[in-house]
Amino acid sequence: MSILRRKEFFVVLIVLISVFLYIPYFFEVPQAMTNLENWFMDTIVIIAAFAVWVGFITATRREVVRIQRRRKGWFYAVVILVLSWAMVVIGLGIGKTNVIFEFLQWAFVIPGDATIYAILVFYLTSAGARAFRVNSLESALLTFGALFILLKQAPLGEVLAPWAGPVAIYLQDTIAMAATRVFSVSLAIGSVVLAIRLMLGQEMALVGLVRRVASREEE
Amino acid sequence: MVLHISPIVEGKLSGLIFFLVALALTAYYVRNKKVPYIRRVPAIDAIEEGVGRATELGKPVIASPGMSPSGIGASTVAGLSILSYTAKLCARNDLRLLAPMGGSAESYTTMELARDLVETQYKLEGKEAAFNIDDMPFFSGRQFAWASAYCGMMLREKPATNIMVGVQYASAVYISEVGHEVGAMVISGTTYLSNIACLAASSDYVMIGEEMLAAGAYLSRDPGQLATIRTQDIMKMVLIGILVLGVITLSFANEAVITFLSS
Repeated sequence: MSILRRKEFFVVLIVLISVFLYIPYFFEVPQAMTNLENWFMDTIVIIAAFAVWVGFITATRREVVRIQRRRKGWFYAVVILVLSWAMVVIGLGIGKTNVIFEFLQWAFVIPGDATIYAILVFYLTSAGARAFRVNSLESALLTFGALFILLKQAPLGEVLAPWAGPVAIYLQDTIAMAATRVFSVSLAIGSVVLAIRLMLGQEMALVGLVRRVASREEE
Repeated sequence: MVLHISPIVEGKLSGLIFFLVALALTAYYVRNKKVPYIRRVPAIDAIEEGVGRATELGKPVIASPGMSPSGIGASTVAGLSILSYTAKLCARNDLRLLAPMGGSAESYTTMELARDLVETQYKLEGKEAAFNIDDMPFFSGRQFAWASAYCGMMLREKPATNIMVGVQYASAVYISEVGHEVGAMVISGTTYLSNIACLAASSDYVMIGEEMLAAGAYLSRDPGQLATIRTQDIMKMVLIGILVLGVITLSFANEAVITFLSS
């Protein structure tokens, strides 16, 4: 079996790259090693740049198939294709600071983003309405806590209930903050242990090849 | 005051000590394969339930490893582990798995990895022909464009289960609520702190804290991987100890713990 398909190869690769990234992070090292670290980081950017094209070509292929087969909503596929290719051609041809490119950005991309972002408030309300049903002691505490925060945040809340402000600040700065710190600490530990698991070759989900190779060997 | 020991970079001493202790503990437990008691994690167990539900209803499952805005970070690795596990269950049950990719410029790289993982699982289950790359489309490198397309896919395909574990920003509530609207069981997980509360409100099951990061080990059932969860528990106990010690010492105007942590 080729060495490139062996689990050990990937583990060695991960360990080597991790060492070259970790050492300059923790230790004062010669400039050559820092340059190597920067080279690794630049490599990520280059791979991502090529991946952008892979993604773009896949998206184009998908939309073309949609149009060819006249699937439901195929007209929107035409719009997507025309706009996305226009952005690419204009962006590459005459630059991102060009008036036409900026027009496309401000006329289509930004308003679309803003619209979806604005819709979120309605979804948050519907999620909140479901979450704040009082059917247990915990949900009652949650609902009352939310009520104080709402009274503090709402435009007329502090005028109508001036006592709600200090309570809300206490809830936010003490109780919610403590819970947030618990999450931060546990997430930091979880991330470190996950990184170590990867370095030790225990979590090879990232290298999908491994299991495929294992199954081929079994065959 | 900050302790500085050459050649360690100033301010990195405590981090280095924690990292080395975690590395030593993990290596020890991986070698010994002493499996600790692992409590049930309802959100992870619910994935199997969700796939079972999809099988009964004859509907597809939709799953995403998130947006991966900063490349393949810890959350994305966890998301990919869960996507791979979901793909295995879907392949086993002859189910269609929809996995809308995108959300950030960096997610192009994640997409290729995700496709390979899902395809591998279908091949391992002997259902190579059932894998359809068009069910894993790349929608957009922009968060809200991707989220809209994700929701559009849910409204058209009416999946029975929506599994969204990985990096999820503001669009997460949008996706989970639309999932709820189409009658899908929503299982979510994120390490983005501001979103955990929103997802807890809008999902049927949510992975909180390090549950998501330990999911890969939890699902693998591999003693070596499971043993590493003990490291997390020990490190948590150590940090709680330091926290309590810090409160006590600081109450007596002693800044030793602060000095250590800042070093």
